[in-house]
Amino acid sequence: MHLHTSWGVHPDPGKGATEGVATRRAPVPAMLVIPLSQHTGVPCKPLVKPKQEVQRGEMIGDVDALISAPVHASAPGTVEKVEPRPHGGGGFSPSVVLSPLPGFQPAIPEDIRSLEDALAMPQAEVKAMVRRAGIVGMGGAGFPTHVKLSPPPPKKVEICVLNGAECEPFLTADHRVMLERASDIVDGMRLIMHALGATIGIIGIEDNKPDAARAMADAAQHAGLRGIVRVQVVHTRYPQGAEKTLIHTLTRREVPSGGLPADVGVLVSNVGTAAAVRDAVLKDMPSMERVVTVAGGAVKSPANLLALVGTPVRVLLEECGWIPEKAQRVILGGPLMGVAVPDIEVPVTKTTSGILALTAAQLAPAREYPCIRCGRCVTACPMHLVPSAIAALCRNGLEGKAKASGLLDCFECGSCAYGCPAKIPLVHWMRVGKAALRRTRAA
Amino acid sequence: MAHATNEMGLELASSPHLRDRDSVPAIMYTVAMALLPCAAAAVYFFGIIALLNIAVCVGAAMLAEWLTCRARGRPSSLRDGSAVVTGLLLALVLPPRMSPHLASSLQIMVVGAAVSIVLGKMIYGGLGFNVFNPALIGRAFLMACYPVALTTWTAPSPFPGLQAVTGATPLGMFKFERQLTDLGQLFWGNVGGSLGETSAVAVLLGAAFLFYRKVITWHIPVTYLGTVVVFTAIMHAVDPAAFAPMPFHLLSGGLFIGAFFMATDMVTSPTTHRGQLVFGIGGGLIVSLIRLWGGYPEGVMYSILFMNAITPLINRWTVPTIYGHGKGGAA
Repeated sequence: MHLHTSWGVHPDPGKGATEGVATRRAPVPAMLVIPLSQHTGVPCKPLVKPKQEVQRGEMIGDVDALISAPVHASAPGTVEKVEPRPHGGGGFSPSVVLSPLPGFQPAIPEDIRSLEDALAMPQAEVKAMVRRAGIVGMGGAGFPTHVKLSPPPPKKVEICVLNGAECEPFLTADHRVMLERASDIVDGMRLIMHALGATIGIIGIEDNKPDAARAMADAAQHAGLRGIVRVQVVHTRYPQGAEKTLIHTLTRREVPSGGLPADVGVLVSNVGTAAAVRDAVLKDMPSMERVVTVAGGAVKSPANLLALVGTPVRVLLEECGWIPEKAQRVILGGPLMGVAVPDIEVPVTKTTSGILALTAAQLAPAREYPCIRCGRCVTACPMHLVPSAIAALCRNGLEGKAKASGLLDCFECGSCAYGCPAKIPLVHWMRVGKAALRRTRAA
Repeated sequence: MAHATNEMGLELASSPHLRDRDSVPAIMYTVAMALLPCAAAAVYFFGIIALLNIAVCVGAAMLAEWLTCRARGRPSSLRDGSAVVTGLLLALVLPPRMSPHLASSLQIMVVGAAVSIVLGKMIYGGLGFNVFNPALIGRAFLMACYPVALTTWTAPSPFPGLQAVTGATPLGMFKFERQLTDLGQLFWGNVGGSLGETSAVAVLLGAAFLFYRKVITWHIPVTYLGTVVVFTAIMHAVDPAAFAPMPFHLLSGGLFIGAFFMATDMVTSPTTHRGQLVFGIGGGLIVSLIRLWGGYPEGVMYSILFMNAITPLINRWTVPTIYGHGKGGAA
């Protein structure tokens, strides 16, 4: 059954090149650059010094703050430097530069405890393990997972939603993880539900991934979760996988403006994050590697690569045979919400879902025309805003009025600007308006 | 938006990085293409003069736009394609021949096209900022300045030529002589009237193309036509002698071309689907009132202009409830 939705856009998915190909290991680079801030919240302080030897999985950065997550060495080796390095999110971030042990081949550790034992542990212990492993939302936002597992009382989460929508074009990392690690994801979901005391599990998957939906449904059935966990197939429509839209599609609940999913009794976690939670609890394995989709018109052999956190983007692009002179823009994440990077030496982090090298033809610069009030942005906006009007207010320095029209409810999915026939950079103006509001607040 | 390219040849720009292929000129030329069946029907029923009228109106509209841009010291906005659509629509909603002297008829058209562009659009700041449908502004201006010419109708001629044979429109014949026109003739278009509005089937063909290309949605045309259908059906049932039957109203005059090509003008109609429903129902009521009780036999133009005027208000009334602000939120 499909649940009705009435917003969004239908960009060309462009997933065919990678969705059917098994994930493989990316090469271990000569040097790893591990940022101390890979999450939403307070950046970590380094726990290591130059020349220090570290083991794979050793904690190298942490901070005593409510919203933060530690970072770990993804390979054994020697700390070369601790210094600011370019970061995919823009600007510089203090980073641990690590030279891996020569000849190191990464492997996944064995389970050290059974799921049954873990499900018998106290909730606080599971949450502590998730924190210690540095698990953050791997869908892109990077919010520390242990914080989501501890909603402030009296809020109570009853529904755990796993996000397997993967609505961004080109990206197939979640798709592959669902096919290759379905039962691990279900294990992770059970651990998350245990930590929360949640009673209902829903796995939301877009209808362009029927094989993933089948794999997840089979895995849930094998685990004996009939009646507790269900797979819900949803329309393929961008931005189906945005947290607030997916919650509405699956539960008909609306997260209040400025609030959190916990306000409506829901937690949303990316499918990859669930698998990472399993690794953290059953293997004591921290978050230090992830699946990354490498694709785009300037990439000869697009693929999904399991990469160590800290691997330079360049190494993955080279592994997939990119053509630098054809690449006009390199993007971390998907083409609709991802960030264009100035420097391909920036590292893969816990939240890097994709690396896209797009060509001039794919980006096709377009002439801007005046707004003809066609209303396509209004139809597309998943938050039911009037983007054309809000962007015009921001453009004219009226961000106060824009705020009253819902500027801060915009999460910059880009559906409006994608569909705009006048090619007005609507999201850009939203950002300009938000920056102006921040300046006013700071002043 | 400026895109910076760094020394590695990589471009920096804010997301989204992909854009839909549709564009403003593509929309305008789609509308122009959708008007081709109307233009073809006009040539079929009224002869070569139809082509002449269209060429003069489109040419005058483009010239007026170019001159206005020059006068303002701005780059030409002809590229957006909207002047072509305005000129084409104007030609199609004017009588085929407004004067025994061909030159006078064409001269009136040039005035109408210039007014459409300059007073209907450019004076507000150009495309996107106009309140009223430009072609209808031009027509309304001519209606005020040349009332006789604008009600000089030509009967469609089986041997089309440049000589004028006067006739009356079906709506006029009913209003003033209580004479109904055959529905088949109305559907195919073999009746007197404005150049492009006489053939319902030609308008429907173009409208189907607009739906197919997703340039228009059902909201305005269906509510506009639906309101006329309901209103005129009820009034005909109440008093068949005074009011014409519903199918006659539906198929005659400029109702179809207005519903599909003018009321749906993106710039001058509401932005939200809910607002478009209000627009359609309001317009349908006004055209019915004018046709049934007004002094004019036809009311499509004024119904759309009136709804254009209150579109900013409708937009204000129909702002959607933002996600997380309504009853769905638990706040």
